[in-house]
Amino acid sequence: MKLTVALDIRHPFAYLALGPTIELRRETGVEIDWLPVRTQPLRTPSVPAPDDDRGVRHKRHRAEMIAREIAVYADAQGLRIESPYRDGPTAALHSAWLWIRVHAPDVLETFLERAFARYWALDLDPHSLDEVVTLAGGCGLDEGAIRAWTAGKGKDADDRIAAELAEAGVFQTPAYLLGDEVFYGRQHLPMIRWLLEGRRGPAPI
Amino acid sequence: MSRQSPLFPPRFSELRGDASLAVYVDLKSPYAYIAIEPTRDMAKSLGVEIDWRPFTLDIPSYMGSATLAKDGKTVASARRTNHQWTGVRYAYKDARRYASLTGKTIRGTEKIWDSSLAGIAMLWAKRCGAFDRFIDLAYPPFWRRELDIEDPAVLERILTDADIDAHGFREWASGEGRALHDQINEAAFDAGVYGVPTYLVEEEMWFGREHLPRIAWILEGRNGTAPGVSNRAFKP
Repeated sequence: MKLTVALDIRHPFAYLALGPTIELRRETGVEIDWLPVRTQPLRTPSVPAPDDDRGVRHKRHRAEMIAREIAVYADAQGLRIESPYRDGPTAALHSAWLWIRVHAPDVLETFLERAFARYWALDLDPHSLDEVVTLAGGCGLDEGAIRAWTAGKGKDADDRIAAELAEAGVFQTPAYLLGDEVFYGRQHLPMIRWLLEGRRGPAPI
Repeated sequence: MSRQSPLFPPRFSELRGDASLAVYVDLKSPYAYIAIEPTRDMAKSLGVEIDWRPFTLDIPSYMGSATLAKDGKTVASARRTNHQWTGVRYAYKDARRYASLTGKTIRGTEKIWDSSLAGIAMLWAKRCGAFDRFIDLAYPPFWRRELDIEDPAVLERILTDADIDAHGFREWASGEGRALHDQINEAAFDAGVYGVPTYLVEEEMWFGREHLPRIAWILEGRNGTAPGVSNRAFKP
């Protein structure tokens, strides 16, 4: 059974999911198809105003809770997450990601770990081909081939993957696609493990 | 993470009060329904008493509104964006797949219920020391769409079935009980509670049962590595 995992590098929840998902792969041996996806960025908690209605206050409470979750669980994993509300283009990273997925799949997790860590340390622009190619080169990959792919078929491949994920109904990250099921969030990893292991043992609830 | 972390303002522990663990629930939330069992199991395994509290969700204020037609399938009216619909549909599907593992039925809802009277009934049951018995009899039929939780007679029957004296409930619900419910809800919302289940433990506040591993870790004295989020069982 193959597990597809769709991550948006710009979302802290995707970074928080990366390590635990790699751990699941190591422990279960499941084949993971890592895919790039673009989702809605996080909302910054709004500044309170006297005329805020209940809906505005609700959204602020939620945004503040998410901010706390990111800070607390990043700390627990020893991850550095700077400026969690960043948005912006990611084309170069996606193109390199998809090249590695096909031509050097054994290196993809290492590449992703380094890319996510550097992005969240404000040390990688995922839209800069030079920065992304240098990162790939540091993983022992063919920089010239990635440049050529990005200039040629890379964008089409990214668009095709984006269309396929949209067709599958993916709208959040991290998204886990297993059979006909889509799960959003690393909290589902016990359920995914249970399904991968043939529903053996007690259900995760 | 420091215990004096600025992430968690003092109002959270003030809202918790003397309880070791306070949990907010709403009968009309499928996520609250499927959180009951693992929350109880976790608390029981640690010998911790739960202070259950009602929190009546005001869903249209943040998720738009919709009503089903008489056929129970088509949408008669809706004020929701596509993104809101996608989120609502996923939430039900997600709750349903976990519920099915423990034999629970979660049917799609016909409308956004006003569950405040059910919240008041929770308070009545809690006063009688029978909160658990009440919700155990109310949640399953409500999610099979067999219970009109806006009907005081229906709630009186559930209270009675739970061996709770329902005499005086209706009068209390329209006066003192309603005021208490509203006060609890406003205090919670003002402090930052916005969904259910919400957990208050020490100075921290969390939304969702996926945080139960952390809550258990805190209640056990924060020994060892802090766990990540996970939907998991706490069966002994």
